[in-house]
Amino acid sequence: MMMEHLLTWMIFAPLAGAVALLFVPSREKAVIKTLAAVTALVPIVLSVPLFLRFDRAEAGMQFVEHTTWIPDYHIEYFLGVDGLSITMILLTAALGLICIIASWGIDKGVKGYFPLFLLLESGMMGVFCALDFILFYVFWELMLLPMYFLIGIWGGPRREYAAIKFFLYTLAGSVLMLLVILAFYWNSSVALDDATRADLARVGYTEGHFAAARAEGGWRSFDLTRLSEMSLLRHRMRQSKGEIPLDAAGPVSARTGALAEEVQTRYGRIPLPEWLGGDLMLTFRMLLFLGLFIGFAIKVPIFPFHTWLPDAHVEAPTAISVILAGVLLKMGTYGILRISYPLLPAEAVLFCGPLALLAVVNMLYGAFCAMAQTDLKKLVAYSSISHMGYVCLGMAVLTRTGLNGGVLQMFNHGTITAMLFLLVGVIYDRAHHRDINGFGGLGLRVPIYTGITAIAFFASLGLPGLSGFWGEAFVFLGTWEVPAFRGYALAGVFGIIVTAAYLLWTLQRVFMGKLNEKYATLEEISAREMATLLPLLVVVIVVGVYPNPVLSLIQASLNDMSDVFLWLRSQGGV
Amino acid sequence: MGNLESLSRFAPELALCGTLAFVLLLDLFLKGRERPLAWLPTAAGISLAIALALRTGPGGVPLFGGMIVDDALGFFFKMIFLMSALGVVLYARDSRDIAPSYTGEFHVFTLAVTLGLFWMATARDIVMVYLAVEIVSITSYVLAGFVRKDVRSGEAALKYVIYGGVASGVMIFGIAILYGLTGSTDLATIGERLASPSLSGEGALGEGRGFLIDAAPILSAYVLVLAGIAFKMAVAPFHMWCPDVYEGAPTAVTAFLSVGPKAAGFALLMRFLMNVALVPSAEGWVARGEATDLSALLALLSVLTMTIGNLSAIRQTNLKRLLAFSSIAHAGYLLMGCVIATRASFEAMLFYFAVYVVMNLGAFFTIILLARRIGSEDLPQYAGAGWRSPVLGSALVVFLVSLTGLPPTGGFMAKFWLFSSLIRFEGGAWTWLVMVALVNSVISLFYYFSIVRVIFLQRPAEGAGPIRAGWLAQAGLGGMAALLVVLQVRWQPVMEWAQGALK
Repeated sequence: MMMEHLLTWMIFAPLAGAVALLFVPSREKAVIKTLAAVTALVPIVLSVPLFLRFDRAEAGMQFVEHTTWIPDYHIEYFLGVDGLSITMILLTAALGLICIIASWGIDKGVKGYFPLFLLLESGMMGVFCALDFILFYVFWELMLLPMYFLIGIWGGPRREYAAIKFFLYTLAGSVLMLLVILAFYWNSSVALDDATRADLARVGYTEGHFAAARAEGGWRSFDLTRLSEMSLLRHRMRQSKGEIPLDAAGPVSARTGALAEEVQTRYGRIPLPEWLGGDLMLTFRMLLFLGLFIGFAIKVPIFPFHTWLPDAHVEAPTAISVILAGVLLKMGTYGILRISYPLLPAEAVLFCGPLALLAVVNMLYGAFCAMAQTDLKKLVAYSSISHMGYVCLGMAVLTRTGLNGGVLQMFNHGTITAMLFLLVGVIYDRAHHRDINGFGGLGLRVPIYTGITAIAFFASLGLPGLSGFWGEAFVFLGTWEVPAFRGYALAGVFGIIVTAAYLLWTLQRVFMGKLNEKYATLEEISAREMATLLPLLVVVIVVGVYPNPVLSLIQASLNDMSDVFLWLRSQGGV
Repeated sequence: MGNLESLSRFAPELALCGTLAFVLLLDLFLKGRERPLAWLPTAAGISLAIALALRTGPGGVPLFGGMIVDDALGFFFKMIFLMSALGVVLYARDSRDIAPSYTGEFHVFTLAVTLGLFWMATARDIVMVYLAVEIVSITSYVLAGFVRKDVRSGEAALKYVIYGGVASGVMIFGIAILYGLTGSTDLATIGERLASPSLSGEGALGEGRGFLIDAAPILSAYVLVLAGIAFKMAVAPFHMWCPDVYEGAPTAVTAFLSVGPKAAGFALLMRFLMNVALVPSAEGWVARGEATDLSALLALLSVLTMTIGNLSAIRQTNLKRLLAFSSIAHAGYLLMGCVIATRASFEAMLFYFAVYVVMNLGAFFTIILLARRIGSEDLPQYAGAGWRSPVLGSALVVFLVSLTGLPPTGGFMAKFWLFSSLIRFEGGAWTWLVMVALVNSVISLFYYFSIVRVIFLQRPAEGAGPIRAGWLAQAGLGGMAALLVVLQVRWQPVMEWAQGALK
């Protein structure tokens, strides 16, 4: 029971915990915190079988749960995991518990904080598991609300401003996504032959639905896998003016090979709708791509949509900053990889140049901004912008190495930046300020804290032997592979130098030199704080030495995706 | 059906009439503190009307010689009116601004408005339309000015009367033109005759024979009638009365006015479009010709309404005024459905209405309960109100999230279906209108969440104790909030209901 519905349990266990917490009297703060921690433990426990049973050679979806939700409109409850999402799910599960432990010090409105946090975790899990466009959107929006309250109620002095800014920015992006969802749905149409019908009948559709769909001229779908198949197919149809040549320029991977056969048997020769042909439609599809891109870019955040992030980070409580940087930012890049790329592959090839440019701008702009900061948290926030630039660059090159590097960097940045924010939280709880120039010489006073911070900083700047290195290395390797992008690779390497400069300079200002007398009695890191940092530290070092366990998780799916792009590029024009 | 036979299908209306007369008489015998008790027979009467309406069901036959029709569309709106009237009567008991000595009148007028709304939604004769609009208007004027000693209330009523008078004058001009052109007052007959060759341009009588009518008078008749209906729906540029009336009237009345007349206005508009201005097509209804095509005009009104409503709401600090502008914005969204007038868009509009009633009334009822203790509708006074009453605060958040149109609430599904119907129409030709609406939704987040910000992100003032409300009242609001969340997951029953109303 539990194993069959593993993903459902992972998504809804936190939600159930949140509901249960509402029935605990608000004065029982310790009970609420413990119960929240126990609830957050459930996804971690469940992620063990997920990790162990995940078939690393399989490129497609695993642990699939697929049933109808609103059958009349073909909205489905469709969950699944592939190499792209599994690392994000593991990261979310881990950070969920870590953040609850990190929030132990919360004393105000405990009964509000922990249920909202668990609701947030449910939403995040849902986003990474959902394979139905509507389901994805619902989870995506579900996260906004708890995040608004968590920043707005438990945040710093300018929390109200930061909370609504975060909300407005993200909502502006997601309404664009909604528009694209609707456009996709109403323009999707799959021929209903026997194979498709058998497939759909397994999900739970009945003859009545098929009859209705036939009357409308085809099966409309919110199913992301079906939509992506359809996009590839349409691309082939456009290129061949309605006929599908199976022999010429065959697809390169097994999956697209299978697709080509399916095209023959399943779709036959659907008359090509007129709007698929002309240039106008290219514009339309480009608009769809841009709409999705802006929606996701706000979340990443990609320059120039990044201005909400420093505000939100600085005002959010420590644990929420961790979630924000560790998981929420990844949703932007995840969305591009999960939705934009598969649904609009040809447009992805078309737009990869501008995306790479924006990625490099992100890297350099984020790094320079970070250098100028005197607030430690703001520095980490800008370093996040810079590091998400590496992810985007990896995604923009569309090659195997680049995509793998980008997703690896997503995971690594999630762990490293979580450490950085936790570390900032530790010092802020003691000193009650975050002014980089207001410390000095702490290294001797708090050696353990200093050591962990140094490791986290080195991991962040990509020192070999720590996890940050691998993601960046693969990204640059991948970028160098594409001759047109070599300039970006060089600019990116320059970004690493700037990153090293601001991180080392910060280390020097905070931990070295003469001890600031104000902090002569600064306390060393506590056991609880250690408990939040240690698991992340282990991951950073282990993955740094031996990245294969993570890399092998993501490889199959991403190689498959990059093969599609390789094939598209070999075809020439869009 | 003749007059006598019609009476059997007229039972809900008769129940309302009976209750009205009973409460009016009862109020003469009740003294002082007993007067608020009038809510009991009122609520009982409305419940009886609901039961009778459910039992009678929609019959689809013209009643009273074709004056009104008890079709499924009318039935849908009748249920909406009855439900909201019942809610308003129940929550008005907690209202701080209805003096106990006037509660009898309040109930009488609520029943009278409901009756008028019934006729607005079911009229199929243009004279009946006018009568119904006037009944609703005149009783609403009284309700708006209900707080007798309050200057704002009086101002609101006067503004309402003046605007309303002009609007109905304009409307009757349009009606006169329609009658003059077609010689009939029956909506369906007017539609038929407008479509006949002599009126549509290529006349059998030929050009220059005097009876060839070009589009101008037809279009002007449409526009004039539309203006009268737009006034009831508070659609820009006929919305000016709305904020003042909403702010000045007692909150319970405001709640009712924000739902009832608006819904009835839309029912009327839909009926007018379906019978008179448009002809049936494969997907729904279309204009007879380009010259009398109202869709561009309606789209313009829709954009104006939602934008003016939302932009004006941003700066409001009075909750009732804020919600007034918000309801104007919602009229703008709803109008999108009339722009394309397909079956799907009308279904989506009805679905939207069902959700809108719950979320809008929910927000008003919460404010009634909170204002009882806080003693004001000024937003700054509500600082930390959510902490002072977590149940009411959380319910209000759900209502506001739903009004914004975010998942997981019914408000999202409502917008989803409405926008979806526009995007699928004519290969996405109206996508620009959806984009305007989406931008507007983002703007609306700002002011809806300015309420959330004040009640939850700000702390209550020192010494402000918890706000208590009756547990039944709280449970009712909790149920409404829960219903909105459930509608995200299971909304088919409501959608099927809406689809049934258009069969």
